[in-house]
Amino acid sequence: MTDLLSNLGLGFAVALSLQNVALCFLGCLVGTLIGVLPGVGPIATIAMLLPITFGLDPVGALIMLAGIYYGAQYGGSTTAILVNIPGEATSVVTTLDGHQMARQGRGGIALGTAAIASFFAGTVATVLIAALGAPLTRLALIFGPAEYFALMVMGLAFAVVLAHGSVLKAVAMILVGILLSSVGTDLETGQERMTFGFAFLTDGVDFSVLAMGLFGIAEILRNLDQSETRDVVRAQIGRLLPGVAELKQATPATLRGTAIGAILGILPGNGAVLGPFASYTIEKKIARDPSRFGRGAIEGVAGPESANNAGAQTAFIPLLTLGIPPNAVMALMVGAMTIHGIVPGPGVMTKNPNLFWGMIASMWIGNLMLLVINLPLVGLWVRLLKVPYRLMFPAILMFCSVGIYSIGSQPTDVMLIGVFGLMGYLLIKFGFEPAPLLLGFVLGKLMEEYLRRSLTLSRGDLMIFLERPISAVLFVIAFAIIAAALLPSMRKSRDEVFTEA
Amino acid sequence: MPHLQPSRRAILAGGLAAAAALPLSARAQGAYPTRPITLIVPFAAGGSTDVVGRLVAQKLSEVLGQQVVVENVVGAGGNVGAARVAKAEPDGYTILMGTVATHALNPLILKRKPYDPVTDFAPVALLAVVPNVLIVNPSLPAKNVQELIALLKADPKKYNYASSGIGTPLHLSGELFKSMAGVQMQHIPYRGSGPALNDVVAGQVPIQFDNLPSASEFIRAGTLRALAVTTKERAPSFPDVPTLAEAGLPNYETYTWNALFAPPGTPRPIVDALNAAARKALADPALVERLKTFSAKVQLSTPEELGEHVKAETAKWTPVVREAGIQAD
Amino acid sequence: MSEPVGGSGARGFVRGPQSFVAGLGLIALALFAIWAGDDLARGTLGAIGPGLMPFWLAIGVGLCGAALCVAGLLRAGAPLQGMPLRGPVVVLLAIVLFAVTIRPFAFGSVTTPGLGLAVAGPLAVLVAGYASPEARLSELLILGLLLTAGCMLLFGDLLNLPIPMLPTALIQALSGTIPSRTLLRIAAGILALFGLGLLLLNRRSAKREPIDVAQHSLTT
Repeated sequence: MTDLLSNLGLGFAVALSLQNVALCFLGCLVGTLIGVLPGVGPIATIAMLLPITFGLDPVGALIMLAGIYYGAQYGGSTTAILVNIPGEATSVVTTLDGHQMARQGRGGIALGTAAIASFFAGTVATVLIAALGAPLTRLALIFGPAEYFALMVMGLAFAVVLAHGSVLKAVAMILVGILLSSVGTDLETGQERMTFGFAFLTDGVDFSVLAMGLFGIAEILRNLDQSETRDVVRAQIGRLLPGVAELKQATPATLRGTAIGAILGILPGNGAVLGPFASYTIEKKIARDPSRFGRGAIEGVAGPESANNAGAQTAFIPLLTLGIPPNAVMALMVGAMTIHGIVPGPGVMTKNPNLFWGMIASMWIGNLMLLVINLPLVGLWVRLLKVPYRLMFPAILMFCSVGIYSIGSQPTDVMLIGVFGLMGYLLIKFGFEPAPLLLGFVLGKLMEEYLRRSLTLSRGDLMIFLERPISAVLFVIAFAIIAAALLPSMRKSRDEVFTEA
Repeated sequence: MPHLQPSRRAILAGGLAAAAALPLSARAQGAYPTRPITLIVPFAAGGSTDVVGRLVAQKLSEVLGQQVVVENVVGAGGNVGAARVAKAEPDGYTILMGTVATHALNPLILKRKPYDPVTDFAPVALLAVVPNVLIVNPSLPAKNVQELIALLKADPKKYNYASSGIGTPLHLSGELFKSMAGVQMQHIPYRGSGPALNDVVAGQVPIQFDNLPSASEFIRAGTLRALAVTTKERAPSFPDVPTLAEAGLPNYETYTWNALFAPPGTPRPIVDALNAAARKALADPALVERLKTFSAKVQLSTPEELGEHVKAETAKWTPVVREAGIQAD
Repeated sequence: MSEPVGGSGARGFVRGPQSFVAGLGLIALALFAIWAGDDLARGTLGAIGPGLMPFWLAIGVGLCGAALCVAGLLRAGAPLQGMPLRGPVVVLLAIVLFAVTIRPFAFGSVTTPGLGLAVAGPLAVLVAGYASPEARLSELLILGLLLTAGCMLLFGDLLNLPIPMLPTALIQALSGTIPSRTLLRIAAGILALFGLGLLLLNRRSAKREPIDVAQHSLTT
């Protein structure tokens, strides 16, 4: 305990230097900015801003880059709520209830709840990293391919619950999502799958391209053919910040979301993407009235948002204690450390205590700054909703195009958002929901990879999934979730034959 | 908002003054470079090629008096970025950070070749070589290469080895090891070296071939055991680790290399200017030291030597790729 | 998300047309995927080939489709929704125009000139705007110019992202005379001036509802 305090003391001494506070603020500001712009992701931005950090000391540089990362995570939620575009895989679920709240004129409350829930989760996650970072690393090491496969299967089970319409359609969408994720070069054999010889498909479909198309462009197309809804968006704006009653309602969800997100974030196999989905599923399952979800339930924003932010924070654990980057942004941080002469690995914590504890302290400061930056901005964002839609949608379209182009400098990616936009529009027309598809897509790639790796390791023995206790438990949970989702709908379909399931 | 560093601003201002002083007609070759140069790194930001690229680009900017901007053009194991440069204007303003993957392995592995590594580029200079390393989880009973070979021979079906992906220099280092030592082990490909390291540290997979830079801290911390490096000479950062050649595979040599390439038909004076700039940049002791911290060794060449190097590497890898039976479409 | 149009009227053979057609679509997709992945080896459990997952996923999608078809036959459900063409066609056109003008793009032998964001941006906004019947030319021009100017400064100047900003021909013609950053700022300034000029003209001539476009471009 005294160790922890003295370590944190060292961390805050480093992070609170004038230069580092300024850099942290700058990072958070830039991150929020690029997070809010649809399509522009933290990867392209951090990569381009790396040279600017060359002149800084390594701690300052990493504090700024980390600020961009969680600023972008946070800003992505703003876009998800305001215009229904998830900037990151982790903000897909925020679109479900967050955007509904915005449509009901409760956009300010949604944004405020997201900010406060994120801050709370960030604070808890920071303490968690400081206190338990090193022991938690062991958790990262007991997860092998079989456990990750089981985890992904559980994630897909969540996706079934995510949908609020027909379960059958949700399952179909998940399968289509996984199918779509298998397009591209096969990891194990290097063969091209279903690319039809198109060079731009050899690396598969980028998440942002799919999300921007299915959500951003499809939403535009949908709004264009129903003039009533777009007036709903600009209805009365209501209160700007959540009141006591709303915060009370959101608190339990925030607590649960924080716990779930923090645990999943530690897993280096990109477990953090599951956090928001898991949180949403749990909130919906334990809610007294699950039908509120998808129609603007505040818990559907608070839970996933806190899970998202907690996971974004604890994802630093495998990076800082093991030197293993759990996702592309963290891989970039590894590069940044290397450029600054720090080789990431298990020794960073003991060899560079300034860096390690300084970064941890700066995370909390960064979260505070995000709150300070974003709460006043809520009013501004909400006013944006008043812009007439005939001007709003060309602007969104242009930002999506620029953002997507900035990711890979490929004009074909921009065209693909059009293709997926049309696809998303058709899906909506036929009563399908795009969120399960996107989740299937995100998890599908990982799932196949882990499945094949597990079976190669076990030489084809399926028992590997049941012999290992963690994987067995995760499978049991997955089947329980699916059963719980399917049973009521089956009963319902018997009872209410004449209403659509 | 981020601002330019004073030094970069000064360079820009200097460049502006110099450029403004020149008459319009003289702006072609004589004054190269007159505008920022794009260095295409065909791999994701954060990887070892990217790190080398960025460190070199920063120094090149100082030497050339024009910004050298790194652009990561990712895809198809580096082929997308390399193809972009192969088709770029040969004016010296778009150059490539090529590697053993883009200029030797990919052309051998892929059936549909987007470019020819010899004719579609103007070689500029070899920059650095990075050793690979054979590492095992400390729980594996093998303490050295001979013991590992004995272990693999005793139970040819039992062991797996991890690499950062199919067709990467690391995968092929493993395949070369298998064929030269006459052993069997199952290849487990990962998406990059980070996830592979995780599973090897955790003991899910016992053996791995990795770049020395990404594995070095694990070796130092004792969470992984280095059995041998793959270069002809020992790595200066790990003088105690023998080479595979010393350990009983006399002709074994693999390494990852980084080199600058320009589009085909780039005028000789521009190639020479870039080569000279690279030499000057890599003569900087601070940069050499920085590269050394992650075990990359500076190794410069003339444009001709690089051209020969590409041909030699292709010749060396052709039989390995054929024997490993990897041929994608 | 979608408003289920409570279909109570069971007409004809197909009682839930939306489900039925959706099911057919899924079956078609499944067949397409099976065909597309036909060349891939499926392998064994110990060494799963690249074709195994796509094949079984496609089967799964097809089964879901079949189930939906059956549901559409048996159960009364939502009718098919009308599909206006104007929105999708114009929006897609805008996206494609942006993609082919932002940097040189080759369709076989024809290559478009790279015009950069300075041209591609206003073009995309202008064309996209006509997806809505309420489009007004002057308004869209102002929006396009101001947004593009803002984007050029934000992405090009501040964030340094590798997006082509200006026409390639222009950059080459001016190479060596003006540093690229200054050129970018000048160009953004010109676009912004045009936009603001139009805005003023527009305000003075037409007394329509005031729209705070300038503020919009700053805040998006």
